[in-house]
Amino acid sequence: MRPGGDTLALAGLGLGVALVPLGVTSQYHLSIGVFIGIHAIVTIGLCLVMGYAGQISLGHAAFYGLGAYASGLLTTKLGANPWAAMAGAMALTAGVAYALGRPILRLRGHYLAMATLAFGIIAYLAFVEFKELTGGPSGLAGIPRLRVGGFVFDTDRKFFYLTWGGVIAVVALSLNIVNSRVGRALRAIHGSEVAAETLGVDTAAYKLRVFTLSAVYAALAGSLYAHYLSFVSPPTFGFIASVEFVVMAAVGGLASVWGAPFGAATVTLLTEVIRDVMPRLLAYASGEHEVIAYGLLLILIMIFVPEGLTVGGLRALRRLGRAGRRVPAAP
Amino acid sequence: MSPPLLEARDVRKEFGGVVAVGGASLRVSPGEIRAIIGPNGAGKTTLFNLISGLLALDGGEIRFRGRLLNGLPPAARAGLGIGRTFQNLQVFANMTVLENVMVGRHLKGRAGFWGAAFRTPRACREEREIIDAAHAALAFVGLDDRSGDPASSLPFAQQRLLEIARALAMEPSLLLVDEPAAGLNPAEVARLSGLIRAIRQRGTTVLLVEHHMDLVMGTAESILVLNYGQVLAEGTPETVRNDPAVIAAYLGAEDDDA
Repeated sequence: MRPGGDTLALAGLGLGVALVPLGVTSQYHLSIGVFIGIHAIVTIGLCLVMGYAGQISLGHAAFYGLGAYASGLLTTKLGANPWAAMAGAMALTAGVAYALGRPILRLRGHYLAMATLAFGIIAYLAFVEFKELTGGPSGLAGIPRLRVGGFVFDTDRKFFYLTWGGVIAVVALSLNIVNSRVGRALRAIHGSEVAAETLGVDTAAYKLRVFTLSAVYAALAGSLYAHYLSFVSPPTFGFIASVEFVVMAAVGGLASVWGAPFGAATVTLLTEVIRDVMPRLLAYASGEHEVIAYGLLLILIMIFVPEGLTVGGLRALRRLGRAGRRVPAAP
Repeated sequence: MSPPLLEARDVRKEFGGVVAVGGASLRVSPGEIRAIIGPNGAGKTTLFNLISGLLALDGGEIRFRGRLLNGLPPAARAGLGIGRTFQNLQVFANMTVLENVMVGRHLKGRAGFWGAAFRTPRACREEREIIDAAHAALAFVGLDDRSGDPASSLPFAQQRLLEIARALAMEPSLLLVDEPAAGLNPAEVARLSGLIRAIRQRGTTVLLVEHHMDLVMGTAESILVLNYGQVLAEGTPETVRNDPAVIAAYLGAEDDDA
């Protein structure tokens, strides 16, 4: 809507990304930064599907996992170049999303949610059960790092720059899409599918394409994950991960590309805090209790700031600013 | 007689055994303003939904410029030049007034995901054309001063005009307008009447479903009266107004066997 503002914000994001690793030197903190970036890429795609086109996916972790496993398998089993494997993983995931989306995007609302949920579970079970290929529950190790000539992305700092370069590219492309004929068609589907159809928007085709695009984003994120940790295992790509992505999208603001990185940051940091704090509060607490926090967070967001923290926050700031200006004018 | 722009022959639609349209036929010539009237539940909006493809026919056929429409999805019919507005407003509340009308320009553009994502020169040029055409359509209905506002902020009457502008941005050869006068005050109805004539002046044939008799009688050249899903009468406003069957249907008669 405000391309000028978006360009400025992108420049700001670029500057922030350039500066963060100069101030943050702890490997642990940088690696959290990398994960926020990876999560942000998935979340941006989910925002396009949910916030713009108005469809739901509870199975995006499956595409994330598909990207990760495809990248891992192509490099470790076939000896492919990691970049080629990344491209292959994205192409493969696009094919799967297209083939899956064709039948299930005819469904609406809860039915679509159930279908994507089921797909997520099937994909998870496939990662666990195809042991010869995926290594099953013990995972797939020895995935090579990304490199350009002699330059290897082998430190957290280098990978931070790579990942966030990817985030900036994905944000820029997505903003362009949103502010275009395609983006308007997607929002029209969300606004009134019937009206969009009668204006000539092939709603089924648009839903399918945006679903596929978001799956490609998730595959890119998954591939980055695989080459960053050089190890993948099923729990990263299970149902809870799908829910996490939905929460990230909702926290940031569903209908806002800019919200996605903030949502990803908020939820990723929250997860770290919970993992740190919960075992101290509850001696018996195990790994699953983040889910409770996600649930609470989602409920609170939907009740108090349904447009997400970024849009809601900006609005609150504006209201504060207006109130501040009004005070001196009063007699 | 010139070949009809739109021809519906023996069109039928039932909802779970209830006949909404039971064998209605209709011929619309290019360049006319045709009104469809009839009591509530007569099947007027259902007929519109059948023509625009939101509902599938249970029988009969609909042709547009001689081409059979049966089975074509709504988007394809829009591509052939059939535009419409909705009785229950379907404004895109999540978009601005201008963006609403820009969606109406969808079929005139070609940019896809790729062109949009990488802002190709062709996509940018196309975007400017879309914006200009959308402003022109808004100016035509007198809404251009609200172009930057959220569509949901418009009062009801202006949302109706917005739907007309959005459909006109398609440059349809046939425009289906579903009860545009509902909820408008007399001054707004008078303006609407002028607007509908101006639309025909642009070369767009208008098919109008309306209850507001002043608007119908003052705007339409011919009127089709539906009752219980069937054509009760057809002709000029004068003929229809004096038709005993029409008077009976509207005022109620003893032999009304429903």
